[in-house]
Amino acid sequence: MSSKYPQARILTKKNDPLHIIKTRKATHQRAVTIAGPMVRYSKLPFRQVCRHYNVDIVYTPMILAREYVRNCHARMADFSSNESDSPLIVQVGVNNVTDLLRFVEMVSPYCDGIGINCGCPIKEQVREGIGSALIYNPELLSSMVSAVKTKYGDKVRLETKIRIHDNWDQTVDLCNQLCDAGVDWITIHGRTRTTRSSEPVNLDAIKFITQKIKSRNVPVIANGDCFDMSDFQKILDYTGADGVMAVRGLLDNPALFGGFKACPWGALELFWHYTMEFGGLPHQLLLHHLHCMLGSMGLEKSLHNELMNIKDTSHLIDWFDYNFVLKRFGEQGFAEATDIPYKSHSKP
Amino acid sequence: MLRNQVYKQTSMIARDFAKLQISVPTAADGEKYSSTASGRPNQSVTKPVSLDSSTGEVLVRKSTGKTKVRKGQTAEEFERQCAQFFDVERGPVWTPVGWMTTRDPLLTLDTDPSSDLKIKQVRQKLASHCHLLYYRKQYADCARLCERLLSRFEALDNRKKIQREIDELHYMLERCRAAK
Repeated sequence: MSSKYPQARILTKKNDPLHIIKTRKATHQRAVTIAGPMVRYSKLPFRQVCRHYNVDIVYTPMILAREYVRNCHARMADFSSNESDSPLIVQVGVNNVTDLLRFVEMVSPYCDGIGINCGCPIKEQVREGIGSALIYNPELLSSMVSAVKTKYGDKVRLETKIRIHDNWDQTVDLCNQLCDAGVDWITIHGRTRTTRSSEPVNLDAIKFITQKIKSRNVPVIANGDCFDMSDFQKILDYTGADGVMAVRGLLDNPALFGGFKACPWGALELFWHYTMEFGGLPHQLLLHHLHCMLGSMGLEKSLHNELMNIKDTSHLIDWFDYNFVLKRFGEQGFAEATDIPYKSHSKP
Repeated sequence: MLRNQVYKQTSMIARDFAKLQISVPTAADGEKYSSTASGRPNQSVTKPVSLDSSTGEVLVRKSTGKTKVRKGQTAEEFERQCAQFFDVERGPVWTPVGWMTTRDPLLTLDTDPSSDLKIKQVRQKLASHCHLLYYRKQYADCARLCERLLSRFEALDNRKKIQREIDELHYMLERCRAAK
C-alpha cells in the first residue's frame, strides 16, 4: 500500500472483530451477535439503530469492488459512515484478486474488517462469478483470501460468508481451503444457492461443517432464521457455532438482540432520528424500513394501508405526528417507549 | 507509456477472445461431487477467466450464454482514483450527527462545480436538509430553505420531470407558514 495514503484502521480490543468474536463469552457471558448485510437496507441509519440493542458487529450491504475502485459516483452512493459506525465490516462483491486488493486498499482505513460475499444468489451476480458463484470456485476464493492476508496479515480482518452445497463435504473442503488461505472467520448461511428463504435454514448442515473444521480454530458464525433470542440460543446450542448473525430478523426488529420479541417504539424513534440527521434515505427505502418495523409491532391494518400509500417524506413525518407520539432527540422519554403510542383519535 | 501499450494490446486480445466465443467454465464443469439433484446443476454459475491479472480484466458469461470481457484497470488509473478518493473526496461520505447544520447547503451548490441541480442526487441532498428542519419542527428555517430551493428548482428546464419534488417543497412551505 502506498504510504502517502491512510493506512488500514488500527485494530484494538474494542474494534477488532476477531477479538470480539473470540472473547464475547468471557466478557459478556454470551456469544457474539452480528447484524448481517442486507441489499439496500444495511445503510448507516439502520446500522446505528442496531448498535443500540446489543449488536456487536455490523455489516454494510454488499459493495461491488469493480465499481468502487473505478467510479466516484458509485463510491458516493454505496458507502457512508462516521466515527460511531464501528465495529464495521464492509462486505464486498468481487471476482478477481486485483479488484479485491485495490478495494481493501481504499476501504480498510474506514472499517474494521472486510467480508467477501460468497452467498448472494442473484443471477446477475452469479453470472459474473460473484456471490454464491464463489463457493463453486474454491481456487479463486482461496487465492483472493490468501492475497489479502499475505499483504496485510493481522492488520486487516477478512471474513467469508458462504452458503452450503448440496453435498456438505464440498462445503467442508471449501472451509478447509479457506482456513489454509488464512481467513479470520467464516459465516455459514444454512441454505444452498437455490434454497428459498421461505424454507427453514439447515442447522444440521451448519452443525456438520462446524464440527468438521473445529480443529482449525477458525471461528464459525451461524446465519439463518434468527428472529428472537430463543432462536439465537437454539442455533448456538444446536450447531456449536461461535456466534449468530441475524439479517431478516433485524429488519423487522432491530432490537432483537436486546431481548425484545417485537420492535420497540423507541427503535423506530431512533431510526427516524438517525435517518434525518445523516442526510435522509430514498423515500421507498425509508418506507420499507418503517413498514417492517411497524409490522413487527402489530400496527392496525387500516393504518398500515395508509402508510404504504404515502408518497413522500414530509407527508410521512406528518402522518406519524398525526397518529402517534413521535418523540425527537432531546425530548423527555425519547427512544424509551416500547408499545405504539397511538394518539386518541388513532387508537384501534 | 509502455504499460499503456501493453494494456491496449491486452484489451484487443480480450476482445478477440470474446469474438471467438471461448466458453467460460461453469461450476458444473469438472464437478467431483455427485449431486442428488437431476440434470447438471450449477451450469449457470460462472467461473470467470482471468485475462490480465495485473489489471483485473476477466471474461465472464452473459445471460445469453455469450462471453463478455470486463475491462481491467491500469495501475495508473487506479492511482488516479486513489488520489481522487483520498485527497479530494477525503474518504467515504462522512456524516456524523449535526453535519447537516454546519454549512449552508446552497453555499455548497454554488461553490462546488460537481454540484449540479440537474442531477437527482444533488436535488435529493438539498431536499433532505428541508426534511431535517421539518422533522425537527424548525418551521421558520425550513420555510426559508424551501423558498430558496423552489426559486432554483422552478427555474430548471426539465421542470415537468421534477414536478413531484417541487410539489413536496410547496407542501412543506405551506405547512411551515401555517405552523409559524
